[in-house]
Amino acid sequence: MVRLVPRLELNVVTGFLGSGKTTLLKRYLLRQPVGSTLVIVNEFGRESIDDRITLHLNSEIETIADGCLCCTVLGQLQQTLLHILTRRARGELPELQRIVVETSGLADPSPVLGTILSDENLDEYIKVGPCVTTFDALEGLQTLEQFAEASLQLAAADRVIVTKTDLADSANLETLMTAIRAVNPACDVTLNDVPEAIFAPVQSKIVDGPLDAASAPAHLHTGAVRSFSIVLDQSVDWATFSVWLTALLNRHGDRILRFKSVLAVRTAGKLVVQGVRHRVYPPSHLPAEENEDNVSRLVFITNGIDDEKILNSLERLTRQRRQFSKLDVEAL
Amino acid sequence: MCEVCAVFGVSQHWTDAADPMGVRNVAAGILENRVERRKRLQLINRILHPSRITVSDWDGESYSVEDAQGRSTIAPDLSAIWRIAEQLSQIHIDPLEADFLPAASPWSDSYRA
Repeated sequence: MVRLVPRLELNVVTGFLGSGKTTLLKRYLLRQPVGSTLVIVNEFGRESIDDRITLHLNSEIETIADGCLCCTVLGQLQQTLLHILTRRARGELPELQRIVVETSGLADPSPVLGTILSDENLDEYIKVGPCVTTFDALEGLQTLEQFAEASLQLAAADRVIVTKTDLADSANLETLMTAIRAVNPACDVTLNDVPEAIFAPVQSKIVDGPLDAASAPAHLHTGAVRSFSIVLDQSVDWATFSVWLTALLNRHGDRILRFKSVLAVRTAGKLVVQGVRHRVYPPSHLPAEENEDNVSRLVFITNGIDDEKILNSLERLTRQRRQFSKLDVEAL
Repeated sequence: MCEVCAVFGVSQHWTDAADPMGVRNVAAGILENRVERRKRLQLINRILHPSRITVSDWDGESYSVEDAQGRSTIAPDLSAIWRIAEQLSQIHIDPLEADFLPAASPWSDSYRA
């Protein structure tokens, strides 16, 4: 399939209330050419957007208000995106290269990602880029403990940017990093954001476990959200894997918040397959130099699903005694 | 052509649609494409056999899902097969259950395909 029009990249920026989403975006936008980025802001409730407009300076803003993107105004997001694409097709947005969706602080970003991935019209013209989550160095741990939304936002992230690090001590930052990795072992975590690089491609590498459960904060409870990784010491048969994963997501996609895998596929080399809930991003090959071993790595972040069952299922399918590392966040 | 690219390019679904390494001409790998689809179908039919559902290739692009009474529905992609099979059979098809894959795993079988 040859695309006649290059796809726009869309990035979701999420993060809990007050975690620094708007500040991060402002710093990014100040470094972009005028008109190259369009920001869609979701305001939960009737909060004034005047101050936000002054922040976003050189970019156009669309606002979706009076509801949360992850539940009540998803249809509005679709319409807004289609309207933007129509304007682009008419030549009204000649410089546009990127759309950024800034969620409200209480949103679960995965339905937003799912909306774009599952809409054929949008998928034709929009490519979903890294999802960026801001995480407050001072309040983040407490937020994670108290609000399920915070762990959903971390789970959906390709890149987590820890904000307000200048106000936190180094010991606290270390605990914070461990807590973030406990929820999402596959994301890129950065303490010092480089504003122009916040949407840079995320390196598709999954670090081997075991995840360090002992050093995770003892008081961390994130509800039923669990993360675990699996290492398979053999190449994956693509036909079998795709059948298994589609069946798994059909029945349990609502509870698989995020998965990311780097698969050694028999004749394909290393393949990155990742998704959010029911939706899977188009897979992509890693460069040939990454094919140094025959090992496949998978990370799952689930909500209310027995991870042992996923491991057993994969074991039955591959008929391989599994080797995996697992971190049970709830039990910490 | 690799086994993944062999099935890519047919539709927009993730199991078919990506264009890794810039491979966009599915006709160039049509034989591999057919082999990969056949492997999928063998496995799917083993899984769905207890539900009395049969799946067959539909024009090399979609799938026909048929129940024991002969009712059939076209599934546009691999993901849709499970939803349709569940609707026709009124049975949950759950890969996390021990009986999801009857008999021996086809994993090593597919290597001989």
